[in-house]
Amino acid sequence: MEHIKSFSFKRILLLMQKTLYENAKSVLIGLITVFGIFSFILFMSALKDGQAWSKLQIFYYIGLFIAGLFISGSAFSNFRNKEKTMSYLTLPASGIEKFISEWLLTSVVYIIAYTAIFYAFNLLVFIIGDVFNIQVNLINIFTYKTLTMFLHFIIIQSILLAGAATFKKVPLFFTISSLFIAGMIITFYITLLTLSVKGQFEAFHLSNNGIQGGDFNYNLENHWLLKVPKIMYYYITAPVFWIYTYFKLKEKEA
Amino acid sequence: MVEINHLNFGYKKKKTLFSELNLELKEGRIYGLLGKNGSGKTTLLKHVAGLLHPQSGTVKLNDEIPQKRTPKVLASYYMIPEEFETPGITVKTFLKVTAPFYPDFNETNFYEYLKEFDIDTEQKLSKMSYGQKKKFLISFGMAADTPILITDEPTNGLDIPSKSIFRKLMASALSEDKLFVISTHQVKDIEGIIDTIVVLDDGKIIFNQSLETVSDKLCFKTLKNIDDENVLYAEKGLIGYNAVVRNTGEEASHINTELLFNSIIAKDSKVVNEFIS
Repeated sequence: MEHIKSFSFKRILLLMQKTLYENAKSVLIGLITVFGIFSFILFMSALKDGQAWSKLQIFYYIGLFIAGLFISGSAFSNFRNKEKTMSYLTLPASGIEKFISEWLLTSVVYIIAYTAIFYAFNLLVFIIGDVFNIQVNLINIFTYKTLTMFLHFIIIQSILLAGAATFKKVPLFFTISSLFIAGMIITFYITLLTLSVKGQFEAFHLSNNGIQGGDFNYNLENHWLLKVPKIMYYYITAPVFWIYTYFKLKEKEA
Repeated sequence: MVEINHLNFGYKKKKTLFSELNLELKEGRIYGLLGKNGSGKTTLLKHVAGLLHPQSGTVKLNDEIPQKRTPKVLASYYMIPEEFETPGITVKTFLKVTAPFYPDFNETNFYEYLKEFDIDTEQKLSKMSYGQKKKFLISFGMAADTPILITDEPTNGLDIPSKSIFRKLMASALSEDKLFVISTHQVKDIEGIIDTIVVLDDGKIIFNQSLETVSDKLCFKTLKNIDDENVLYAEKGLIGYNAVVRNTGEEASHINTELLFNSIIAKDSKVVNEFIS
């Protein structure tokens, strides 16, 4: 038997190829659903005022997140039953290679493929719009807002990937439920804080600069209390969940 | 080589399945891992494949720990499980996307094995019957040409002609540097191909002998009465007793695997004692 390296980019590509071939049908169904819904909305809009035709950039963001989160939530589909888990775990590739291949497919490859397909869709809509005299703009992904969206997607996607490696059944549902519960706990904690400070319950929301309520506005722009969550969100969340996913993959038993 | 030393394991902490289990399997042999349902055969194979982690003790495949699941150790064996699920792709596509992970995969042999089993390569795996899928997996596993081949109940779901093709292919694929493990409770199915019998009962290896040693020590006979003190085990048959008898005079006889297995798992087995003493 020839020498086998412990890490190989070729194996990562082979893993991606295997995953794509084995899940091609579900990916195709997902794409048809998303773009089918877009087409339906555009059709309905054309019957009315055609305003939706000029807002394709918003369609792009919504589709990016909804389809992307569904795909990420169903990553590691081989862990959904014992038989598939067994053949996946015994496939000659390391845990880190298996993790990188799933991550690349559900983030980088997904964003590129989705954007390419959306551009093709955008072009088609543009041509149809031209025929029916409806104004259509070509989307621009090279804006600060879009690049920030990609960053948000990568961060949220890391949580869903971790959920997909953790929950055996309906991981997307359980991950979103876990996030919801975590959000509820944080909200409850802040509510208790405002109660202890103000002596009564106040409706509030988090703004870029701090916490705003009916008659109060705590400006925390330079306060560490606001900096810490921002740093945690942008720089720590994704790496922590990636490491967690990798170890989950490594410890998996069948 | 497979080395298992002082393996302790239980699915529940308080309920032990394996306690200080030791086993060594060497190249150039086809091992028959036999045992009743629930004796721990699949769990043992999962430890060998690194799919389960021992509570204590070690499992090694050619000096590598399978639980680490490095590409090297994973490429050193192929496991054909009893229960499996196949993706909705054709045989050819499966070959294209899976074979490159096994550096010594032999495509020519793969197609030859499929031809022997009469499997259509254009067919989708998910559309195949259980038996067809099993034949496909056996073909793929053997063509992977890994030093170790682990099979769990490989003959389950195979029709009678396929069982004999399986035996023929397994016997022809063995070489000096390969080790095959066939785990089954259908002892008759692997008669004639295994050269070492390992019997697992209630989580313990109670018998591990080559058929050569068995043949030296035991004889398999049909007797009218079983009063002889050399009779170690007997079962009533149609024309007398099918018996396992102490071989006192270098007598050669055909090994009845099923009878041997029954004699081993019998309570206070005299056959097992014969090999201890």
